[in-house]
Order: sequence, then structure tokens, then C-alpha cells
Amino acid sequence: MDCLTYRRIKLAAPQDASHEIIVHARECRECAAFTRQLEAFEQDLHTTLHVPVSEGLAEKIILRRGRPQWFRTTWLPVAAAIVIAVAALVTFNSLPSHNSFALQFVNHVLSEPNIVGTNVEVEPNALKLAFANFGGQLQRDFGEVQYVNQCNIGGVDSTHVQISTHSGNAALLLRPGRRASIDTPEVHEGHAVVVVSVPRGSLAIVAATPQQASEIRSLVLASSEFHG
Amino acid sequence: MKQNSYEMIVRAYSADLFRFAYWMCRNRWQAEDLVQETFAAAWRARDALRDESAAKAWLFSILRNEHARIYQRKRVEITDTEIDDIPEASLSGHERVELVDALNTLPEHFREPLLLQILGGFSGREIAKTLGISEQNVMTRLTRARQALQRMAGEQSEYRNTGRR
Repeated sequence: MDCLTYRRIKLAAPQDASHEIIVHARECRECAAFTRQLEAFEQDLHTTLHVPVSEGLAEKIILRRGRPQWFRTTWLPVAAAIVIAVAALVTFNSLPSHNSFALQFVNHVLSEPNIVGTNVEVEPNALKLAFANFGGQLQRDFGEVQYVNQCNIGGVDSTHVQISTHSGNAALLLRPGRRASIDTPEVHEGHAVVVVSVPRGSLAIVAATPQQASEIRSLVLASSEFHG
Repeated sequence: MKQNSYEMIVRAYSADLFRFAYWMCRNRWQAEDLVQETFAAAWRARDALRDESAAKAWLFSILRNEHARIYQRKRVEITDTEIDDIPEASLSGHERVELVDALNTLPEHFREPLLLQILGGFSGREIAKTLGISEQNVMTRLTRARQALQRMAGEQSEYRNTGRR
């Protein structure tokens, strides 16, 4: 065997250990050196090619056995669509309609009968502060604040301001979160309610009559500005 | 092929197939997908495997077909091998980079028979059958693949000069 043939064979199949190969390597010092270089290179090549295998790959494959291809390619979007649909349904059902949204403000006022019409000492800037905390800027007073408190309305921490205006008494309920707008007064349980949508949520005005509710709404809008 | 045989085959060959896939697409996640697709296709076509001793070559052929079907047809962009994926062993960082770069640069018609030989453990004849070319052609490609790798990776290392280590 000549050196060229030997080297070609070793480059194509380094593990080749045929009799001719062994004999040639024994007799040719240059080819023996070539073989040592090739073996070192081959070792590095093997090491480099043997990348670590992803952990648990075999188990994953076995678990997937027999699952139809359409399932593998479509199950994720289908599952996602189902989750979104269910979430939307749950959210939709859990969201109060305008009617029930208005009603929860009235119910809150009804739950605190003692404060309506009562006059307790409140901070002079109470309304200004309450509006400011809700992203509003009170530009001028439009009534006398009788009561301010933090209340839970529909599961949300809200601010309840009881105010006396020249159009009558009203509860101003500043509820963060859901924004709703009810311009035409709704009457529930003998109370009229309108709701103003502001960037941080809803400002409900609960008064004794629809006319009072509308007038006090106009007062609020004319006296304040709300930002996000 | 029965369930037990299938599981044995998965355990026996998934690692080799993963490494082969990795060097075909040079991305761990794509390689894993490719191996999973390969076994899924193998399971669907299990009746075609008459002789389970031929399972390994059969699986490599399926993987090559899946690779062509998924990645070549879709022209998925191939990313370069991450050096961190490569075992450190005795190679210095510099040598690893050189060798990985060389492997990434090696044309596929040289790289594929080399991968089949080293990672699959196939003979020249088996590689020829898998690639649909002559055995002589395979041996030529293997020779040239190693020459090219040594030239690209070894130019700055000691392989050529001292035989090193």
C-alpha cells in the first residue's frame, strides 16, 4: 500500500484497522505521524459533535406516541382559543351590566342610611382631596361636603362623598376600575343614579330624584376636570 | 412494531438522532422537534419496518426526510451553533470555536456523511444506501470532509505541526 492510498483510507475511515493499514503504519514513520495527528483531530471532532442531549427527550417522545399529527400541530391554538373563550365568557358574565352597575351604587347608599343628611365635621379640602386621589382637579366648590369615607363598592375600594348642593343632597361615589357612563338617570329603590366615566374609573352620583342627579352631574362636570 | 419495541428503539436511538439533527439544523429546539417528528412519523409508518435490526438506519432516513420537509421547504433560517452547546472536554475555547466554525461552514454534502459516520456509526456502505449515492462517492466525501475540517479548523492549531497532546 502506498502512502497516498493509506492516507485516503484513514481520512475516509479513521477506525479502519485492516491488516494492510496496520502494516503500512508500522513501516512508514510519516504515515504513523499523520495517523497520530488524525487521531487527535478525530477525538476533538467526536467530542465536539457529541452535544448534550435535551433532558428527558426519550420520555417526551414516548409520551407523545401515536398522537395524531393534526393534534400536535393544532392542539395549542385550539386549547388557547378554548381558554380565551371560557375566560371571555366568565368575564362577560361577571361584569355587571349597566343596570346592575348603577344598582350597586344605590345599594351602597342604602347600606349606609345613617349618613344621608347627617352633618359631621369634615376636612375643608375633603372634596378636593377625594377628586385629586381619583385623578381629578376640583376647580371650584359646588357644595358642602357632609361626609367622606373609604367604602367597598362592588368589591372595590372606593370613596364615598356625601355632599349638599343647591340642587339637593347627593352621594358622589368614586369607584376605580370599570369605566361606565350613564347619562340618563336610572331609578333604583327610590334613588336616581347617573354615572360619569373618568380615566381612573366611574364617578356615580346618587340623588333623590332624576332631576337632582342630572343637575348635580352638570355641577360636577362644570367644576372639575379628570385626567388619567 | 409493538409498544415495547418502540420504547426500546426510542431509548436506544433518540440521543444519536438528536445530535444528528442538531448538526443538521444547528439549533437545539429545532433538533428536538425534528427528533420528535421523526419518531412520530416512525410510529405512524411502523408497519413498514419489517426488520427491527434495521431500525437505526430507517430512523436516520426518516429524520433526513423530515428535515428536508420541515426545514428546507419552509426555508427556516438556520442559526449558528451556540458554542456553549458544545462539550468542553479537552478542547480549549479557541479550538472549540475553530472546530465549530469549521463544522458550520462545511457544505452539507460533506457534513452529512461525516455525521452519519461519527454519530450514527454507519459504514460507508450503509451511508451510501441512506444517501442514495455510491460507496466510493461516500468515501471521497468523507475524505474531503476531514481534509476541509482540518484545513479550516487546524490551520491555527497544532494538528498539522506537532500532532499535539
